[in-house]
Amino acid sequence: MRNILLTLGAVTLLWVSSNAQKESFGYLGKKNLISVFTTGNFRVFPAANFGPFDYGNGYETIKYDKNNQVKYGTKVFRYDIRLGYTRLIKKGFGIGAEFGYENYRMTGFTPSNYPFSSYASSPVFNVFSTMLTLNFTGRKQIAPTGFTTTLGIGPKFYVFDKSQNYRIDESTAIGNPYPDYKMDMMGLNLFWELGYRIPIAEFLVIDFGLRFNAGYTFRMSYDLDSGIPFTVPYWTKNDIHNQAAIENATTLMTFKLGFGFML
Amino acid sequence: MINLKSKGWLILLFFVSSLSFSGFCQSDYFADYHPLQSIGRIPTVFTQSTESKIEAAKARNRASMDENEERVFLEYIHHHVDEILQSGLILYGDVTTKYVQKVADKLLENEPKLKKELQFYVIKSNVTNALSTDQGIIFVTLGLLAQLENEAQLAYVLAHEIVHFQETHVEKSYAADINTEERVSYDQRITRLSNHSRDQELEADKKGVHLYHQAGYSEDELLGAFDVMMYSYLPFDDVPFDRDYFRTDLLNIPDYYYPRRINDIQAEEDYDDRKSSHPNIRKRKDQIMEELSAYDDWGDAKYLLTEEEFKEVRTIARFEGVRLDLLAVNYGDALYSIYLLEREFPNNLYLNRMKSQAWLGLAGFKLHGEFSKTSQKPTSVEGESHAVHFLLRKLTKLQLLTISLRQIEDAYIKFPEDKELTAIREQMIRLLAGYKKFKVSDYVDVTYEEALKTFEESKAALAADTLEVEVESDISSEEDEDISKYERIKKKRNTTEAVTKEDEFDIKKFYIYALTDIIKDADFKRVYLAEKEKIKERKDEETRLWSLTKREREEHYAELAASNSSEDGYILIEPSFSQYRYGVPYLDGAAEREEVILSTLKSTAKKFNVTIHDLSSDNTSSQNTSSYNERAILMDYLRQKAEFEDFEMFPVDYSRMGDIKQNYGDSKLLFVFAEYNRTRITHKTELSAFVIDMETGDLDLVKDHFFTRRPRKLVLKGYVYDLISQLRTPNN
Repeated sequence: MRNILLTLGAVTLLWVSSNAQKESFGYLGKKNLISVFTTGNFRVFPAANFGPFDYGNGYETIKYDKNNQVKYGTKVFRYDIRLGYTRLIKKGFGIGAEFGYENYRMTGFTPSNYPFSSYASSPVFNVFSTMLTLNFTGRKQIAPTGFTTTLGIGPKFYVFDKSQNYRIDESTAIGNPYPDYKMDMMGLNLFWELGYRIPIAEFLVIDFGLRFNAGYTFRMSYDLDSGIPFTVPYWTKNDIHNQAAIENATTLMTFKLGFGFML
Repeated sequence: MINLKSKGWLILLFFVSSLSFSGFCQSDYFADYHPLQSIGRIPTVFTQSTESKIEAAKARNRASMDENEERVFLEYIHHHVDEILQSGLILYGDVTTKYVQKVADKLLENEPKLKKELQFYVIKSNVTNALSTDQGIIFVTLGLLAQLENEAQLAYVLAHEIVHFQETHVEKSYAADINTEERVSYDQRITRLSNHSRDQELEADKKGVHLYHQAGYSEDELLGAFDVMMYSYLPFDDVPFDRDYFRTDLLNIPDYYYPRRINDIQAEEDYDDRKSSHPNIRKRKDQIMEELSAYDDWGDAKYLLTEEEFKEVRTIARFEGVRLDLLAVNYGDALYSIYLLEREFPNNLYLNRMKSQAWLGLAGFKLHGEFSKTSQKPTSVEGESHAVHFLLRKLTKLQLLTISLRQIEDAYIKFPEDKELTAIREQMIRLLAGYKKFKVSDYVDVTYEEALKTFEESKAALAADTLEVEVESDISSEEDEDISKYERIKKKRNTTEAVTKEDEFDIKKFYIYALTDIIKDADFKRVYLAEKEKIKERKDEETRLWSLTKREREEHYAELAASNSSEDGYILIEPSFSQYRYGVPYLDGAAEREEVILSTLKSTAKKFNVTIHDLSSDNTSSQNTSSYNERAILMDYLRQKAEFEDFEMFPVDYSRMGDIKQNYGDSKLLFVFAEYNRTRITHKTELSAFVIDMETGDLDLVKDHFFTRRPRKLVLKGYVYDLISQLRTPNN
């Protein structure tokens, strides 16, 4: 699926590039914009309060270091790194692609009725996203600078990070609460962005804006959950899916900040 | 471009002509008169940047101002004066400027230090005025030179302005403004730079007498300078307008079209001056009388230079005044001035060109424009020029158009080889072809006098014996015996065309006899019919376009725009940047932004293979006098253009415009204007590019950008690039 989208995107961009070549528009004639930026948001809404997990404020993270010592954390700020490419095909319209990466440590607090003295590690995912973007610039702007509106849509892939030291507590022999590791997920995201690009050199812009997001995370199969004792209140696949889906859906607004290189 | 060799020849030509100027007898010089141009090297004051002038001016001690006030003051006065210097209105090195300088030299013979500090230039303006600046530049208008009676009067005006400089009146006026009205606007401050207080005026009057006396001028001439000022709103002379001036064999404008009584001249010496910056003339004269009596060793010179030289300079100023009136579309004033000048210079080519242009302009405005701009309301005109303004306002469209063609044709007949007159004539014919009510068939083949005579004869015969007339009607008079029946019928009909319902000869139809020769002329028919054909083609094209779909029409206009883009290049007149903070203009950073516009414009043009010939004021430092003069001509063209609306304009400097087109091989003028308005909550910037085609006179808006952003360097660059890229599609 990912490859198909990438190929389609590349073909589309090549086609529009050849058509845009003869026209004279773009900031100082530059029609290509390569952007490196981050999108993120402050967690103003509690993230996880579902099912049996009815404690905590939803921002907590738990991890164990190399010595199996627990580290409690709070994740109130979430961000990713993104790379974008936009090609202007008309004076106020560009089409492009965007690729994102986020090291996503799922937040949420495990319940207190667990018999062990500590809590299970928060699951970590490497989230890859790819987007097809449509960039609109107002008549009064010289694209790609100034006020822009961008629409984007594309899949999001959650790849479970197996390299983490997952544990239930510091000493329990059970150790890893996610023994099967088959917890990859996929979602579909779309956004609408109100952006502004300020040129700071003839080839460089500061790129910032606000994104309004909506997302859907596809449900996984739960067949492997049966291998984990029901009484152990660490993250089940169902919990993980729900948590990811809720976070995905409730990240309504993110800000964007980065640089763009105009070519 | 002019190469070095030809430039050298040009300078030599100017040099020779200026050297031998006083050796020319008037008629020779003015027989082939060409409007004034600057000559020699551009003075430094024209090429130095405003910023460097401000820095240099800071060295002068200004006790009345603190550091901040001084900065603001210097910014404003230098910006203002530099705008004047770059306006194309200033002459240097020409005969009038040299003359003013020579008179000033006489005044300053014993003041070598002061002489070094001062510079004198002439402004091409019909306003009667002189202006002294804080920088030591004294401007004298051509209007003043045209009005003066003798050299001594000019000397006194200069002495008065020199005192304004000596006594730092500009600075004092400005400081007074700051102290009393801290929030006064920039415009008001600038205006006040040239408006001194009454006390300062009286001081300049009084102390000016010292310089004037020292030079050896006669006391008898001094008071005359005040008369010049008092009557400066009138033309340079007040001679009764000869009602036969426009009369020719074919054109007879009845007395009905002239006023029965000429308006009186109302000016008084002792007017109420309570609201004026200047004291009234009576007060100034009274004070001067006292001052004159303080000296008992008066000289007796009306002229320290020669009278001939003064008169030649004054005549030049008057010739130039006609041109300036045409630029400002003051055709009524221009025609009266031409009338005055033609008394001394009959059949003068320059005056005939100017007169023809005035009539062409009048006809154009009568048909398409705001005619009231071209002549004053007769009730408001004082003195003998009232007759001309009255006539112009009284004429109907057809009457005025006919007189225009007649006058232009008469000038053309006098100078049939002259290209400018030929072009004016052709444009006049084209104008008539576009006027539906102008019909060649309405014009008759007899003269006004013949028609009137025939009418009177017929009427007399009728009165004697109606029956007899009826019997003898086929015989008519003895003179008509030899003409054919058909000619007789024609003649009879022609004379009855102008009979009113009351059986009186209709003098209002005087114009139908005025074109007898022209309507039979083959060349007239050729131009007239060709224009008619063009008009028909245009209408057909319009009809065709309306039958197209919206998309097809858009494609058509896009093709048209593409075909109109210049193949060669553009003459850049002005990249201009102005900025306002809360509605008040300010300078900080404006020059840099203008520079950004210019450099981006040039680099973009280069990328798109668009040739830019830079005649802008920003490029003055690398310009020579030839390009300075070209810029001045083009600026005047634009001033004239600004007075016209969308209809065809004939450029006053027709032949020199032709030279410029030939010189650059391009006929399109490019302007880029930017204006930034900062308010408390927004930043608004507007950037526009215009192109004027000198061939057609069409003004095209290339592009207009309006954005709510600060015009930072990189933002401006982007928008300027976008504007200029519209001039040509890239080759790559």
